Amino acid sequence: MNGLWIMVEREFMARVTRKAYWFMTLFGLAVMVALTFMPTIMQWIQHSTQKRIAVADPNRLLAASTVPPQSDASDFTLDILPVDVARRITGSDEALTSYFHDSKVSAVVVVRGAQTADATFVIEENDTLEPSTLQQVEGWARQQVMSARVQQLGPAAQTALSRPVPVDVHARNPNSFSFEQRLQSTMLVYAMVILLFTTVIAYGAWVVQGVIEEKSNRIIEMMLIALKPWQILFGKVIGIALVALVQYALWTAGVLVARAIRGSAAAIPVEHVSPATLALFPLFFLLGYLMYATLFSIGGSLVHRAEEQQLAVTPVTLLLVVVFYASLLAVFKPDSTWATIISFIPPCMPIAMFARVALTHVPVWQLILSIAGGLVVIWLLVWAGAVVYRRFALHTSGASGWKLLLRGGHGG
Amino acid sequence: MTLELRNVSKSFGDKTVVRDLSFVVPTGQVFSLLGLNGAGKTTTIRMILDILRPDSGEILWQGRPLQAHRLGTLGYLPEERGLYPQMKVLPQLVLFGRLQGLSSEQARQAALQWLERFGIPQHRDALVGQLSKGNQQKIQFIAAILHNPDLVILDEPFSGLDPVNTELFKSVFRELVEAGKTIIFSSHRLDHVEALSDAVGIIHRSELVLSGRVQEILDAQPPHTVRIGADPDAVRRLLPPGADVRVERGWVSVPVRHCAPDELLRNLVQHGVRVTHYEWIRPSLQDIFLEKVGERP
Repeated sequence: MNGLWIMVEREFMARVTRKAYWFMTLFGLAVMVALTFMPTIMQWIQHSTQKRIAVADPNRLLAASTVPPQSDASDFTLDILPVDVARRITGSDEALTSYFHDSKVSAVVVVRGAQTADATFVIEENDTLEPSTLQQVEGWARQQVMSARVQQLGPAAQTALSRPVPVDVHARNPNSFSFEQRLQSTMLVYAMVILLFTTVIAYGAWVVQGVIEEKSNRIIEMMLIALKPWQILFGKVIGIALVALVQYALWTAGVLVARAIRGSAAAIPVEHVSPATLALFPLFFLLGYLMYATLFSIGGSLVHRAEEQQLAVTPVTLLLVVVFYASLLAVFKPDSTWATIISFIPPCMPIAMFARVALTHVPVWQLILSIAGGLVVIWLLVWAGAVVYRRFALHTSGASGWKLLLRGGHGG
Repeated sequence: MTLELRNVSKSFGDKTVVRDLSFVVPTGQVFSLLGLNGAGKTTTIRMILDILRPDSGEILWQGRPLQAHRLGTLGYLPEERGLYPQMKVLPQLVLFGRLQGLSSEQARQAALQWLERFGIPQHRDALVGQLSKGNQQKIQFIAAILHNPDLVILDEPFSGLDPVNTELFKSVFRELVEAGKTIIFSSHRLDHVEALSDAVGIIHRSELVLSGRVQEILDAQPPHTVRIGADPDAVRRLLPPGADVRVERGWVSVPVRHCAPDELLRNLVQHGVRVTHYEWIRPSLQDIFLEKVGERP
């Protein structure tokens, strides 16, 4: 057993002492922190590109107080022009052109009519406004007129129109998910999908590279005199997992600090997710990683040189693509029969069962059966990996790739 | 107390690589495995190391299968380099020492001592891949013996070494012998084998065709040539006409089949010829090897 931990330590140290690893970690950290500040950045970008729209209301049909409150998030500002300016620019086309030239506004909303309830509007565009901006300005203008028209109605009609329409939601099932819980759990499932597949693809490649390196450099002979094949394979898989986890821990810490600086309410928005789901997140992540990383390691032991890495990786990647789409259906419809079935199929289990656990109510026996199935498959893969490794690790020439498994082969 | 191979066979598919191999290496002795490329030497070594399992037969060290012994019993230098090129020298040696059961500190101390012994302490922090071929071979040698194993297996230990380093390796080799290690080694340099081995085994086409103590094998060979330090013309006069006499750098060589060696020496002395050297030349290990593998040019 000691040999396994020595291998874990070697694999871990060999990678975390590389400059490239820290470059990627710090780059990722910068991206994560930047994403945390993204809303602020978006607001700033929005503010710097806000359109200025002037309202020419010479007869003061609209109350200044009805101008919607301007915020940095809005993509335009609305200014009501003084009466004299409004009269001048609505009096002649030249005056309006000259105003556009001097004021640099994007549009002028010209208000005409004798009273608010009959007001008409013309939006004189200088720059082309975004359809959404146009829609908001139109909505605001309509709202002014509609309010004035309501004011002309009798008190009873006004009361009737302004009375709210109550709509209430009653949860009949005490175990049903609240909106927040469902939203946050869904986000957590998406996080699992992204985290698992990116980790498996990125770090699974490292596992393959490591196995091929040991074969092509003939280190494998030195290892096999002191270690069992499963210790070499699993040591690599675990060591590289730790490398990934250190990276994720640093990124998470960075995001937590960034969110604290931003003053966000919750460090990470999972306060509505059930503790059981939170506890199962790392478990399913590890099960998924171990399953695929072990498959990658088997692929690595079936090829001889770094140039053949693709031969080792492709079948596992194809399996990942199939599993990705199959699992995605389960994520979208976690209460479907499809989700239930594939949550017991080990390659799909980490995503499908986690989606079911997070978003539906899964009987405990199903959960235990699914996890047990995953563990058995991982154990079988490690065992099969050790057999394959012992058999093909000393192959350094001739046929290579997964077809060797069908064909059999020798070890020297 | 020995290393013993009993009727060991190994096949890959329908190709038999080692057939019914048996030999015994007493503790503290040096045994050389000789054979052409592909004869089955490396497979035999890998079976002794338990990297490969024999299809039949058994391999015992001190009367028990090797896998039953404690970690660190074996030391191995593979024919091709087995080192992490992107890893520094000292951490790499510490890793191999730890894998063989040493603590980190023990492995570190042993590694530093051996780096000193091999004259490369300055490379402790260098990446292995940046070292010369000879220095990499030194690191590989240290990795094999760092943990003080009882049974040392060296597959082509002298390959890629310059004459100075070859002598250094030989002196370390002799130290291991003096320390009572049992050594199995293979080399294509038969002069090294003759100089360093107590016993040899020649494998040809998967079978052991000759095995025994080096000196006994050499002594058992009848002389094929008489080499004499004397006037070549005087020697020729005392030989039957047509005898194949060769003169090289003042030495006269006569095939034994063309003369009676004892009688020739007696005649030379009786005729007052000045003889400075008289030697029976027996086949060298190289000659025996070439004869056994049937590849004599």
